[in-house]
Amino acid sequence: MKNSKISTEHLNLFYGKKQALFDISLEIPEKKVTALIGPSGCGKSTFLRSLNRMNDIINGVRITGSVRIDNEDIYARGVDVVHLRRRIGMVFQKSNPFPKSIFDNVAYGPRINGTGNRKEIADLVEQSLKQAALWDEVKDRLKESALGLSGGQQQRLCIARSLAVSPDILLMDEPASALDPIATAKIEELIYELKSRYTILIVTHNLQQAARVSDHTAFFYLGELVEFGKTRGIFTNPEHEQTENYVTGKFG
Amino acid sequence: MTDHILKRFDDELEKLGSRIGKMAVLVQQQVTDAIDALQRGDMALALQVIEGDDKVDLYDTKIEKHCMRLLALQQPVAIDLRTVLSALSVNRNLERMGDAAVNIAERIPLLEPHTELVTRTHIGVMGEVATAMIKDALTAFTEADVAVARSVVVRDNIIDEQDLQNFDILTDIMREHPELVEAASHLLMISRNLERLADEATNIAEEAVFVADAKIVKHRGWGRPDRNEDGNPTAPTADGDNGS
Repeated sequence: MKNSKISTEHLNLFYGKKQALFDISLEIPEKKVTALIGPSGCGKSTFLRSLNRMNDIINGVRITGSVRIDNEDIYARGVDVVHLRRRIGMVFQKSNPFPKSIFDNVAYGPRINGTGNRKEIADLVEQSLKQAALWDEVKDRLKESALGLSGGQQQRLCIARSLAVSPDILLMDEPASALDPIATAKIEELIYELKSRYTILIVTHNLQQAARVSDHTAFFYLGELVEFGKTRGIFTNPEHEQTENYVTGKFG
Repeated sequence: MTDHILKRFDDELEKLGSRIGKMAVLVQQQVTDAIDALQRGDMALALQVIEGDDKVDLYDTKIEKHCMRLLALQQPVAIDLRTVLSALSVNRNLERMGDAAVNIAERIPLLEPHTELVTRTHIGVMGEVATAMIKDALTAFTEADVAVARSVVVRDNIIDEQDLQNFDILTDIMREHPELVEAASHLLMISRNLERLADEATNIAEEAVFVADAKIVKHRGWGRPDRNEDGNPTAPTADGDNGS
């Protein structure tokens, strides 16, 4: 595929003896939103976490095949995992702001990366909060605790925190499933805005959300990739019967 | 109207409205040209109408795909749902209007050498009324104006009456002048096409009411109670759905 940012080839992943991903070969296009859908246990979150080596922290995980980002094998010997994760922001289902001020949450990454200049940090915080569509709501209370924000605002703060270290990929694991419809719509609009700068992957159980926000959709089932294609095609005329059955709510 | 949080949705709806608007302008021109060509016996203009139909069909396909995409990917509800459903319906009405214009245009050369026969019918007036109905129906639809929509529906009866009178006039001509049977038959069909154009305009006006008030007024006229399949009045439910 032209302009592919991430490519996996024959990716298999085992939790001990149990195989969770089977021979996944997939090319994720750059600066687009790709949704990963499928029933619980289908491997979509496992796949997402294999892209920034988050599975490394689980005992007994073994991987075969390759994952390439910008054509570099991220599982090759000598790859600096911390450096890799700096390039790949991650947002989880439950927002997880640090028990610090709004400002310090966003400044955290740049500070540990060695950005010492106050003006530079302040600019980065403002810019990241603006990109996360949160600046107008918090600009007058940056010193207040992040824990005082609403659920939706906390999630956008976590996105701002990810953006502050200038990643080029954003992984989102059910980023809006704990939010009300308005907060969800704001996150979805934000995802749409961010794709001009970032390659975004989103795991979601909400098929309507996948349809609304993504350009491409990958359907996983029992650890296998059943179908990958343009979201428009997946939701109007999928190629595989299994995909059709899943998106029309006949199983899952 | 308040914007959606998802700007992409607003953009898509706006684009759909714009496509419908452009198709409407094109179809109105096709109809006007077909009627002009008929009254002036202008073969070149008639040919232009026939060739112009490809463009109408292209809009038809594009709008249908656009609506399918909106329904599948954005899951519109309430007024957004009614807007998309109406766009599908109006698209179909416009495409049929385009076909009616072509049907009229195709018969113009076949009237030769009796094109003057048209002046003995109500076809000229029907053309004027139908054109005005189309213009007003599209205004009612784009502005969700129920009053204008109603004025369109009322005029449909005038066209129906003139079509019936044309039948009598033209069958009399056929009886008196057997050599004019072919030309008179074409005029009968032209009259029927004008009547169809007015019907399509009426359907668009009814869609305007559906978008504005969520009421389905076709088949039963304005102000009459909803009825079930047996013809008995039904009481509206809390969700505004009468169950039919």
